Amino acid sequence: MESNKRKQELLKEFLPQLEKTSILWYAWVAFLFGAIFLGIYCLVLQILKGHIITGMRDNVVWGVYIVNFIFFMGISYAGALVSGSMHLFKTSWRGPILRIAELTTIIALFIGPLYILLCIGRLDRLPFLFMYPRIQSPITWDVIAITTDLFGCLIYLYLSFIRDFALLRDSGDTKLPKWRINLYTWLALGYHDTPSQRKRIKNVTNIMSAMIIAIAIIVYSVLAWIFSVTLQPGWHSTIFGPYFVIAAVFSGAGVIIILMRVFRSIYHLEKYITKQHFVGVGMILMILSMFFAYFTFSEYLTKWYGSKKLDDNLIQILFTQYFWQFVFSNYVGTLLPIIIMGIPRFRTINTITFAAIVAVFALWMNRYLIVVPTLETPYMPIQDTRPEWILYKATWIEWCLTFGGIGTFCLLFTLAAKFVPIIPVSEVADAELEMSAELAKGQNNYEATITTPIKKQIVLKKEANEL
Amino acid sequence: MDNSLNERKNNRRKFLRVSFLTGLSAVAAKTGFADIPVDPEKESGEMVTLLSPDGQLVKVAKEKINYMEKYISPEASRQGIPHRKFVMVIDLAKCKNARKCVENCQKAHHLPPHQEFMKVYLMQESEEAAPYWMPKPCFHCDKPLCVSVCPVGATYKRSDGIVLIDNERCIGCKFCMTGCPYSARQFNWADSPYLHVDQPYSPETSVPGKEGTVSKCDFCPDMIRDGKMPHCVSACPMGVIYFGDQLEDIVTNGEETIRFSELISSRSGYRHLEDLGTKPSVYYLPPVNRQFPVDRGFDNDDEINQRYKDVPYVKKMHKN
Amino acid sequence: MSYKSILSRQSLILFLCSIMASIQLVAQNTASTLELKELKTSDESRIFNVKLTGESEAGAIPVFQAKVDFFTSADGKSELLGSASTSRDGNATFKVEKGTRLLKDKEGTSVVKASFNGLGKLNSAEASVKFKELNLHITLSEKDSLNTIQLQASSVGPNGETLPLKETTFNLYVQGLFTKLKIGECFVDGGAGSFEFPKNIPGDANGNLKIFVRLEDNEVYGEVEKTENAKWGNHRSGFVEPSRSLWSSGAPIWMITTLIILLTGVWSHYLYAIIQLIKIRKEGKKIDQN
Repeated sequence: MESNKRKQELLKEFLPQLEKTSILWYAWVAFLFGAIFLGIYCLVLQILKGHIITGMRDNVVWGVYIVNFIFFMGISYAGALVSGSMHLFKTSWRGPILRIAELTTIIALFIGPLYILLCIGRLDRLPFLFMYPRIQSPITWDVIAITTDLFGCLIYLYLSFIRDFALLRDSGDTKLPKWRINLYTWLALGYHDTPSQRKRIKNVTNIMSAMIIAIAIIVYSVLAWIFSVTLQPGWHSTIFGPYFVIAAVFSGAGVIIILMRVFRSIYHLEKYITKQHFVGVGMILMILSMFFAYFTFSEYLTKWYGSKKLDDNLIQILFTQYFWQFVFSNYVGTLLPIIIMGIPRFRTINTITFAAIVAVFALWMNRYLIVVPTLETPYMPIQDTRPEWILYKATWIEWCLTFGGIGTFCLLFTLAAKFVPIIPVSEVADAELEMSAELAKGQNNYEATITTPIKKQIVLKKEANEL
Repeated sequence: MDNSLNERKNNRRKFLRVSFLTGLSAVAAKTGFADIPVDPEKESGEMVTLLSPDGQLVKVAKEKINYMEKYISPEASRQGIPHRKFVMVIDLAKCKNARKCVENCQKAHHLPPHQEFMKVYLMQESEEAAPYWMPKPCFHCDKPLCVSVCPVGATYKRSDGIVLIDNERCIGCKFCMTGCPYSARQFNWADSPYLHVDQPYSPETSVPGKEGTVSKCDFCPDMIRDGKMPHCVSACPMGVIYFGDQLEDIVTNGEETIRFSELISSRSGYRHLEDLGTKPSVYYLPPVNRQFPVDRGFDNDDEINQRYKDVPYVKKMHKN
Repeated sequence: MSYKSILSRQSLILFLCSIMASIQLVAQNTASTLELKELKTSDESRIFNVKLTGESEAGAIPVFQAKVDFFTSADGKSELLGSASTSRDGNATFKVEKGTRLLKDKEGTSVVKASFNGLGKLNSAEASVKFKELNLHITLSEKDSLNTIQLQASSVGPNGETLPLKETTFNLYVQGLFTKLKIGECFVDGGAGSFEFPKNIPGDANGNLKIFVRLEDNEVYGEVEKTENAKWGNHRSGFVEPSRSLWSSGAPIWMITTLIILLTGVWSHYLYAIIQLIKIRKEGKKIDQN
């Protein structure tokens, strides 16, 4: 079959990625392990000495850990939304970047909850969340939501892998070790691309992509509600649900662009991840940036204009203590992607990647500005002499654990790229088939619209000139 | 000649010193502080100095509380004392930041020096408004947000109105601390000797605290069961804090006993941040016709006085 | 005389002086104070409370395990009634049962003396109270939708005649959780008085009230108290907590329902997906076998 041949071609092209490992790869993995081990060491220190070695105190009880948690969960949902919606809308250029999006979803979903665990005082009592759950608590909603989302994303990811596993299993002359071929065989679930199997996969994938979009929105809103149901000034906002979802997809799009750039250069995928892809996802970035700017402006305008004392305290601390962070995250972070994407001359792969990097950092800072300054301006005045109880300052333990988490993210991605080709072979082949079928259909339709002889002459002349 | 003079001076000094010390030791012997016999029968717990019938100062262990007899387990502590609803009234007109409530509570609950279940704030609503001292325990709200957000049910509201924390269930997520708008809760950030008390744990005593969990003012239900009032109420030298049962409509500060409804209506009692709708169980009587000027409250350590440096009144005071 | 000998004589004198001073100090005893309070209780027994403290630099310190004797005396005669031992806070309680004969003088005044015999370095101390016997009766009645307390108070004269009480005020209390609440005063003259009991006192869960009628700080009769229980409380029912709310242990029904519907919806799709995967696998196995 056409598509089968194409798939074999693509597979042959991508197999070296899985088979060969360079020194650089080992060095990179070693570096990541270093970061992770440092993180584990810090975790052990924290368990032994207590949370006093972090910067959190009685007023700012949630710090960098929760910021990281929100950030990673946000990336995860963005991956789900982007891949789910591209699947459903059958975007023509979706093929090559789908796997990156789906992997982002699942890997970030593993890392996010780890940060919550870091914030919990009694890790030995974690099972209580499942033994004595209180349904009225937003954290219970989050536990249920994350578990559901994790399961769903795993199924969704697996569905996208099955066909490539089958291809890998069937690839005859590879340098892959026997155990890997066996693993692929087992994971391929006996998929032989029969029509009924193909139909099943397509059917379930469609259902799951629709589900994933819905789950992602609900789950991330639940996370937003953890903050908005409390009475804290700055958190008790009605738009937190949608605000968080928008910010999530914004940051996730940025991460996907960065990953696209990275894999494009490492594996020389210039033919597959083209400028069109960058512009495509960049457009998503720009649109979301505009929405994000709109929501942020709406939020802070409302707070600033109204005269409530507590809102005023919060605005004061944002514009004095956190002035540059505020400008960076809410002005630079939103305007830069809009300018770069909005003006066609500025759109190059590198500038779009730069915009994505800025957006990602700006969004991390935005989460920080949501969590910490609110806790520094509570209803009862903080009358204390110890400086670390008045203003929050993250300690090296928290930063090391942040980098440990980022390191884990990169490591899991690196290993995943070694396990399956980063470009989804079957998807790309299918997409190409679709595109050629569309073109053919379009040509027929086009010829069918030429009814009058004059029009036919004009068309024939045009074609002659072009030739 | 000079030498002998100096010698005499030195000798006199030496001698005076010796006789002074002799006299002093005699006095010490008389008062018996030199050798206080410790009653060997009692264990060395908290000691109290008493006089024996023959006039000797004796250190005796404080009456050992039979904890097992009075023990209320975490499960049992979820039921309130039947037919009661506890309420507290704090008279801001009498408070002068003597901090005896703070200190007694800390002692009774084995708290380290900086952890305070009962806090005293210097409140000033606006630049021109009068500053006043405001003791703030946990408000034991009737619509407690802290209870609503706890994912494992470690904190709960009982039928007698008291909100307690079961530190054997708390996972330390600190959601309740963000849920409380009155900053009433504290976290045990590290292990400390204060957490090692030889006493069976009960949420009603909140002793011993546990590292990695949340704790707060508990209205001392263990004292209430004993017919005694919470430690802060009995410690206050000015009788600022009244405590009682809203259902029988009686509150007392140890000396005065008065009807709760009468106290609130005649003195215009109110609850702090009423608009938040949490329905606190602690009422305040406004700081009018005050017994003391606000400055009496600065009779404390420098460290404590420094806490209030951001209050407009204090800032003005320092400018002048 | 040489300097040395003067010096040695001076030192000897000074040394002896300090020894004398010490002996003086040692010989001086600790002053002690005894406080005595009495109360005639509802069952017509009398309770005597004493507190024995000793003076020291640190202030008054309670005396522990000291024996305090109680005497009844009149007209110079005194009889030992009994004794009690002080507790850790220096308090001792001694009860004289109803009907115990107390010595009276011709005006009917009794004196009860509490005394602590000095022991060792602690000086002796004593205190006394004097009082006349007062007979107090209270009756509770509910008529015309009013709750009334009627008091009858009288004393016994020298010739055994009943003397109605003149112009005395009694305080009325109600028992609360920790302390007693004063609800009013009753003026008794000519041996009788009445008090209208307010109807807005809650009482305990069943509306029971423990009412105290007390004569306090009276120079002639001391402290007299009578209690009575009455079901005169208008107790409000306890605050009715909603059984399912955000802060109760059971969640609101709508929350549980919504959650179940959502979760069933989502996980049923997962189940469907897994079933499809299993079917793919089955088909694959069949193909592999062929």
